[in-house]
Amino acid sequence: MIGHPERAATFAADEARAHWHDRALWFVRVKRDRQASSVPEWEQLRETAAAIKAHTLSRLAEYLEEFEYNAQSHGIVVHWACDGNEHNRIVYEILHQRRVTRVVKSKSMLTEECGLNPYLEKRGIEVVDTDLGERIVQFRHEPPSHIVLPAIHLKKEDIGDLFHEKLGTPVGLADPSKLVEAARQHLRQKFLLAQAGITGVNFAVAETGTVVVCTNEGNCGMGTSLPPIHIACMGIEKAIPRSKDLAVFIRLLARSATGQPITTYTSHFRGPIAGGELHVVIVDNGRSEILAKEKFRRSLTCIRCGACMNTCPVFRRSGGHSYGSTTPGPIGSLLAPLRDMQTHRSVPFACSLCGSCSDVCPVKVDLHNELYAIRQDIAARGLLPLHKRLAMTIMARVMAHPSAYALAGNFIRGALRRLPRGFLYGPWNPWGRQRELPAAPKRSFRELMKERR
Amino acid sequence: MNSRAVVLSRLRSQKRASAQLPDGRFGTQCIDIAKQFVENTKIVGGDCIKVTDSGALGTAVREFKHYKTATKVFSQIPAITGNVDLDALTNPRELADIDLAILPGRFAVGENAAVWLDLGCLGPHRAIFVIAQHLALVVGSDHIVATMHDAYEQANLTKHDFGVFVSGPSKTADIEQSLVVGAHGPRTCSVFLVG
Repeated sequence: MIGHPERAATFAADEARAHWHDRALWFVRVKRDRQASSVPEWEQLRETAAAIKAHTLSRLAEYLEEFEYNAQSHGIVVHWACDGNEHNRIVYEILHQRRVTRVVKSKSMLTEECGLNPYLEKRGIEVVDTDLGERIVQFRHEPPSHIVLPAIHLKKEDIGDLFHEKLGTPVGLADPSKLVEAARQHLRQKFLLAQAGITGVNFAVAETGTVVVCTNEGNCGMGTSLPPIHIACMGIEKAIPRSKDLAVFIRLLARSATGQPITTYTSHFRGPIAGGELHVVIVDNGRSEILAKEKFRRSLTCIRCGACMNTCPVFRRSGGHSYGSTTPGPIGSLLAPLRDMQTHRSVPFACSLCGSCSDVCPVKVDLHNELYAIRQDIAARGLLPLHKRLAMTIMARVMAHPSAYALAGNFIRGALRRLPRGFLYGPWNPWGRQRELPAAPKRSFRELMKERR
Repeated sequence: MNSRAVVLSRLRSQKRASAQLPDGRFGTQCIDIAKQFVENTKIVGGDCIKVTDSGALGTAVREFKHYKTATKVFSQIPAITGNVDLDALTNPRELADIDLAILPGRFAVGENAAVWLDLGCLGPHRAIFVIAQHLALVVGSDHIVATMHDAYEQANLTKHDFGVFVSGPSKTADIEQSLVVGAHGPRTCSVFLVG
């Protein structure tokens, strides 16, 4: 089976590019730090955000009903979907009944997760992703590699070639501002012709029945105020109790995501556009199951800022596609196996447990602890690869017997000193493929202690 | 059972200890909010033009470079006359060639240079704030609050079906993390601070 290590190896093979990727994401992390330190109450904000989320999850059904009631009272049509398929069917029905064939979409990780685009395309509806990064990966027929920076795995030259092919820009044009201008003109036409707009939801306020969407490019504004139909798709975990709670999350979100004090546009929808329709689709798709798992519940409080990816030493060096799921990085390494442990069993091990993700998380998800916990679940279900299982069994036996441990230590120290490199780093040593074995000390710790006495 | 009932019963079947909802309101130590707003406007790629009163606003707008070069101007500010009548338009797509939109902001936020626009600020077609090539916002300098906590107290989400915080011009960093201003929305965003 192909897991994270195999996919990461492909990414890391282009050393210069992998290095660039690492640096580019670290740059975003540094911008985040600058913004975070400019807010004196930053740590209290994080704690408050975590507490609001914990409270909301403890009575999520009530808040979703309150949201629904208030949204409906202002003409929003609320739909419920148990899973991704039902979500896709609902969206398709809305579009199909109104004879919509051209749709613009602003960024929504939920619709990625549900596979909405292929579902609609198969049924004759054109779906244009309008976030620039999303449009780029859509042109390339690949998933986004980062939830906030979907095309961060690409260089400007790659995008220049792509736009030459798709949009007819001059050969070799790689100036980002000119490429953005070309995309602006191309997508403006799409916005003007669209019959409906689909968006994600950052927050759904129960008290007022408002859905909030945060964007920088203005694609959400264009996609929801030109066509008369707006469909907003949200996971059940997006509900928050009060409009005052928005202040806490909006203060944290963009600062954590890109190091901006706020996104350019923070749009609040409480009813349809004049003469139009606003639909909200509330989707479970495995979330209630995660909520039922005490150990992993906090992963549901994620506000999708991507800060854990930007800081993660493994993500930065292995690229988002190596995780093989819609949401990559530390948070994705939890969400993916929580949904399908068999398929995603390798990703929680793409982690050094350094804890940097937990330190930057604006809602204080204890990512590295949960990652450690899910590794144990994976091992308990017998999903570790054979070599790991064997190695662990042997090691456990040796370490349980002091004399066997002393003997093994002696043997290994001798072997490390005497055996040729070609043998030590043979195919039986997968650990040594990217790492140097330590230099063997002359005497063991126990021998040194004996001498001291 | 319909899906609504299924999802809600899944959530209700779980026994969870209830956690307290915190107040979540933080005060601020910033003394000069207007100064902070001006500085942050620069950081988010916008422009800030200070004028003494509403009379001076008219003069400043007429001197404003995007006003002078504009062919089609929409104004929602009584003191400034535009040359397009959006009431007459039925399809918001006809807004596509508007060069400059001049809109009043209800208030501005010091900590992030955001300006709050509700439906009352946007005129007959709400697309105007994002489809115009250039955007000018007019805010009273005594209408600046310090943080988002104050902002949401002022905004009153129940008053209108749509409202938006705008902070600077539209932008993207999706190509190699290099910031390009003018993505899908306005290429520039200037805030006229009055008073």
